[in-house]
Amino acid sequence: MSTTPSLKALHDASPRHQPEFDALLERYEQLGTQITSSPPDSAGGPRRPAHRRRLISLSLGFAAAAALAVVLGGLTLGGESPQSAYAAAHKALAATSAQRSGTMTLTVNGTTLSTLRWNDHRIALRKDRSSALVLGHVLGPDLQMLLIGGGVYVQHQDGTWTHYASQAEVGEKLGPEVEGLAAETHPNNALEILSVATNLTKTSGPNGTTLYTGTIRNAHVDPQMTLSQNDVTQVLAKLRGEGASDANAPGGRYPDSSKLRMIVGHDGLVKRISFIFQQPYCRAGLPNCPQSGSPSNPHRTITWSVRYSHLGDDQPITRPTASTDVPK
Amino acid sequence: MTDADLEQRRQRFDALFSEHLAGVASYCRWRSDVPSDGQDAVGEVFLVAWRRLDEVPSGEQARPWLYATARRVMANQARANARRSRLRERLRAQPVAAADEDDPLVGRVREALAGLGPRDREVLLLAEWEGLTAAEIAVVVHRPAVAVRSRLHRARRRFRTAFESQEPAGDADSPARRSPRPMAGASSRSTTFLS
Repeated sequence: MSTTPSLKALHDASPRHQPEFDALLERYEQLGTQITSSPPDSAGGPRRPAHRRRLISLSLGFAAAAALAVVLGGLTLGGESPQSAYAAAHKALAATSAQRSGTMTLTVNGTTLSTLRWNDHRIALRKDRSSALVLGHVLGPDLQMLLIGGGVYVQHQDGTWTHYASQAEVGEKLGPEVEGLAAETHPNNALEILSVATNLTKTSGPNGTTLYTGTIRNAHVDPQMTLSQNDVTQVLAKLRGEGASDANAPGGRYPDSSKLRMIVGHDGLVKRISFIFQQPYCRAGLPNCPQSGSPSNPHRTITWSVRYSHLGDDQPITRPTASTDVPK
Repeated sequence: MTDADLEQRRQRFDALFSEHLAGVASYCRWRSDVPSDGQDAVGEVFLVAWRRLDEVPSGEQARPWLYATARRVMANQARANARRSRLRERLRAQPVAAADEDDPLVGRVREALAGLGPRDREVLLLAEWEGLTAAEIAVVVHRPAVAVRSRLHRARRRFRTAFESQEPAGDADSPARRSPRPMAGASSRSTTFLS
């Protein structure tokens, strides 16, 4: 390919290189699942434009609709993945987990819920203010949590900070969340993600990216799963275990067509992991489905995505300038 | 269709979707008049692929098939839009804001592209932005490959000439910055290629 200045400038101006392009792709992630839930028509039968338009508008119109705010998605072991795809994906996940610092951004159907940054042993979790999702968020009504030097800082809704000198002092309510937070960035956590996918396939994408897709097996099919790494896997275990038979649980009764998608960049590091499933109907009280909490409603496609960024950037995570110590 | 057939079909579609989503999204983005039309087109393209999966070529040939489908979808959109309103025709005659108007190189690229005819511009961008070969472009635009190669060569040369003839950005007296031209072929469907 020519590398004249004019063509280089042309390449640089490509829509693919514009910052919002990734966000655009993320909005499309659920589209594939939506389409395959429509009846195939390989014989080229009569068109149904109204249905098609509705499908597409739905695909682009979803906002946040899930019940839990967690920072990483993973499920359980299936053993049928092609070894080459599995090995390559394993390598990418291991390389990503080995990064000393980075950012993980959780989105649900394109809406950011939480951002987790880590730098060595320091971790910062921030709830996105634009997220309408409050129910089930690991931070509850609080805004941020910092793990620094063995202590915990919690920022409350009024902006003030509380400092716990040690993680053991945060109490029963926050204790599990602190433990889970520390586990979010554990290397084994990322590797667990792979263990949930069967039929893992690897395809080359544009600009040196690699796409991995797999199918998530329902717990009823694979009851041997053992997930206990952190909040996310505990939650997903519930969804896939006893929770899976609970139609009131988010994601309850989701079928085996749930999918895992992972995008690895040209640098060999994971860019995005998505967990896509059909939710039979909205749980009462959740945003965007106040009128739809009925078993008779069609399934909704829910996409949890974790976007990795700033890997190795060594971004600082600092103590708040002012905080109130909790007396021992 | 049995459940096994359906699952096999879904798996093939998933692979197709994963592999080509970015390309189709990119093409629809710069090829559409209106961003929302481009977004709708992406959904249309993959819905067509799902419904007619047996007609989608396998392997590398799937890509030009999808781009060609996208091109037809957007052509249909343009016709429907034209029937609804002639306002868009007037809008097409207006230069479209670049993605980053503060970036002098983007401005120069935009100006250089605006100087190309719509067909030259399309084959150039299919090659340089989408990475399609001349043979693949031929499938997309329904022209003989030899004609596409010739047009592509000419488009590259014209683009380079137009790009290099512009004064470096930052010169307030630069004709390109003082008086941006409307797109050549203003009624074409390629006016938002940098939006």
